[in-house]
Amino acid sequence: MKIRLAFFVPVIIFLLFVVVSFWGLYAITTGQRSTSDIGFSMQGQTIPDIALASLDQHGQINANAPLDLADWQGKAYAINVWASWCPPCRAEAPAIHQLSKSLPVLGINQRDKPQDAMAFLDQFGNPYQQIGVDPDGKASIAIGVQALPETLIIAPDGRVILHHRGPVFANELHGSIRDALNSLGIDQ
Amino acid sequence: MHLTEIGHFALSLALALAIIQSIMLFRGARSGDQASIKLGWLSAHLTFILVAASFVILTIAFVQSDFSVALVAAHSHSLKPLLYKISGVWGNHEGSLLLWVLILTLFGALMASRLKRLTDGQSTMSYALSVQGMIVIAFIGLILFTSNPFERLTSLPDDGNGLNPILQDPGLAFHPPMLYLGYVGLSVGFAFAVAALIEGRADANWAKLARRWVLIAWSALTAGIALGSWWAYYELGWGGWWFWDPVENASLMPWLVATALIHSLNVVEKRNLFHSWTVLMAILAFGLSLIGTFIVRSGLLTSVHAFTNDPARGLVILVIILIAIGVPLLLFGWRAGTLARDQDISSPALLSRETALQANNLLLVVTSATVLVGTLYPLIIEAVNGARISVGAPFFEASVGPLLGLMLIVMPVAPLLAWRQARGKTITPYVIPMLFVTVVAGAIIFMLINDISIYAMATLGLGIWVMTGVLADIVAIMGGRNKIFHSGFKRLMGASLPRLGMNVAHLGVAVFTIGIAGVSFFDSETITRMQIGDSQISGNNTFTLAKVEPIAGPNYTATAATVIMTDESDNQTILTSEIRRFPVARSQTTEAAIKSGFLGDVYVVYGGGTAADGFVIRIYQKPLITWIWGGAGLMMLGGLLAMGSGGSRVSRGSKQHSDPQRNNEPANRPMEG
Repeated sequence: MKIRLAFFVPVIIFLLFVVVSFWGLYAITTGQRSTSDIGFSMQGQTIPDIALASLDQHGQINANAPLDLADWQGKAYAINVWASWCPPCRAEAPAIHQLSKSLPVLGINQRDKPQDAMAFLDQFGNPYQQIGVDPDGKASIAIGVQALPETLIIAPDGRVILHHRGPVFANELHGSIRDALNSLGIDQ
Repeated sequence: MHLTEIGHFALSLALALAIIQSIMLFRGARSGDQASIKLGWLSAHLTFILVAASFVILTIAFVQSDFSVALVAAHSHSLKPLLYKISGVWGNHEGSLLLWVLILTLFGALMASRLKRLTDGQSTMSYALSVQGMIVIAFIGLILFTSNPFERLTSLPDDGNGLNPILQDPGLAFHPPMLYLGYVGLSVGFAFAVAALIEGRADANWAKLARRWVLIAWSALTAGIALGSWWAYYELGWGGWWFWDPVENASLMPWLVATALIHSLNVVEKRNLFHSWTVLMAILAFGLSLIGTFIVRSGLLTSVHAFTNDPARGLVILVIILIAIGVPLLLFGWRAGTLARDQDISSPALLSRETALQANNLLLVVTSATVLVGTLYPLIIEAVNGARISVGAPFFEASVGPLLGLMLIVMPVAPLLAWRQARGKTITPYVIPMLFVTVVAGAIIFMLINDISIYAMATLGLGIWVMTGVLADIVAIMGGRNKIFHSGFKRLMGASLPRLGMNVAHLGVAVFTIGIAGVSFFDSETITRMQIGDSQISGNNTFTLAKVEPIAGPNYTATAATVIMTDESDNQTILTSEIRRFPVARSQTTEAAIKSGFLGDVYVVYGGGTAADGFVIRIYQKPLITWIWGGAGLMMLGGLLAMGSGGSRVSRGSKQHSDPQRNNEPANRPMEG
């Protein structure tokens, strides 16, 4: 009987998978890691300082005029994380427009091509005061984003008073978002 | 004693019988002892009956809304319609595991019922059934020790906690059972693979034994995935049909490997080659089903629709996977070398069906590995350097798309190639017309559609190319170009079911590809704010908002928007989209209004609003989207057809079909005639 080393490749790859998975689960049970770390809720937390290269109205990425959340300290604003490749982002476009009438909305454009993002804005309109580009999703993760789209409402003191996952529809505008805005003293 | 205690007891008894089944059949397979085999046969049947009884008892508890059962209280509600009370049984972690085991033991009983009739291959089947028994032990153990569905409450709640209303949909009621039929069905192929490793034999007979089980599992998995996607499209109202979510990827990975397995089993059966590779595919197909379940249930990765996030339970499943897949893979490393007995000495030529199927297998496995890496990549990176990243749809589209594209190029040519050595001059009479049709059809499309992108053109072209391959093989079945009008129809009627099944499935792939091209490159959407009576033009239709009114459903209240669609010839269609509110679950769903047609869907979604501001109406045009599910349906049908017997269906006495080569198919290929 011939035993060939090549035949052991599958079991070695499989064991690597098991080790990584075991580490992942073990780290959760010991509290080192939590799956909610990716996609943790920012509700009640203070928004971290994030500065991103911005996408200007000509579709150029501009590092000299960044989207810097520190500039927005002292004001109430909303962050909407979106991408042109995300169908629910298209679905929520009218509601984000509606929201932008109540307070400034900053867009974080995740893993997108500038030309695709511009086409999206041409088609659905641009509700954003400023758009920051997040090409590798790092900024999104820093603010607890799980899956696109997500919307956060931030109070003047930097506290996140609403972290909404999924598309914003009329129901949210008349429900949780209205409540959040009311608590900031903003009328829709 | 309460009925649920009987259910719990029946499950415990089933565990004991599964242990007997496993031990006795292993013994019987080793020694050929008929008494042991008989005892194993009996245990496999009884295990199924007991698990079925406990499943029925749990279902009764759901139907009767027995809230003394913790699971019913947490996942049902007395106001829910009957269908969703029943589907509530598997709409949660514990119940779905019980359904999983029910299907597992059903397959066990079906395998056992074949056991006694086998003369050649009885030991293989006994080993396989013994391995099956071990899987049953692991999963019943998992239920009894970590996820008991029969747990009772000491204080009775007034009513249940409802079921997520988004799950109250017929598509989703039948999606998990279909999917599990597929996942669990792959355990049979896996059991045969382990049996092959124990016996050191994976020959044509072995492939014949395993083939039908793999086909039925593959067909069910195809249907299950398609139902899930259909549900997401119709229920979520986002206009998408595949989101590359970890849960979706978990079902795609075993499907891809199972597809590879079907094709490589064919090589084992017809040519006695690819033994070790096929055994590996069978182990991996089921292994990926388990890994998929693990990812969905452990909380290892974040997903929008993960069941439970329980790392402790995840560790138990991981240990089961470690044993269930690790041991067979170790066995594979040690024994795979012994499988390649009686191998055909002459290795196949570069231009042969073997090579084409090898390419198909490699591409499918690489695609599956890509999906796995993409899904686990965030975890791997985090383990290596603690950084957190996420992988999104763009990665999968950019990597999986080209791989599948390559596969579609090879696909239509492969069935035309002869085994061992195909000659160029005998396939050119087929390939040249195929290329001609594809190029002409492509040129017509290019002229008809303005500004068509290169990707859209390529995807459509590949769909047509695959379709021409199906036509070419039908022509070949009918005797080639010279005889097609002479006795072609008779030959077609007499063709073997697996070959017809293959063509139906390949046609399904072509239809599916064209559907993807339509939806991905030619869809459009219009979002407007309308007052009652306003009109909006989208595509060739005019949409008029007729009314927005509150309505009441069985366990929800809703706001319904009625839109009248008028087409070019003034035909009117009434489309009503609703926002439903479920007071008990305190949540809401959107029901899209969809006008489905052969050429695609028109999809109208009401997005809320007020008479003062106007009502938000989204109108989507989804060309050819129905082809995606139609294609999946054809693939499933093809898989089922291929389960038929491999030989010609025309009587053996007929001289024309008595050629012994016929089973190997090249006999009726143009080049051999």
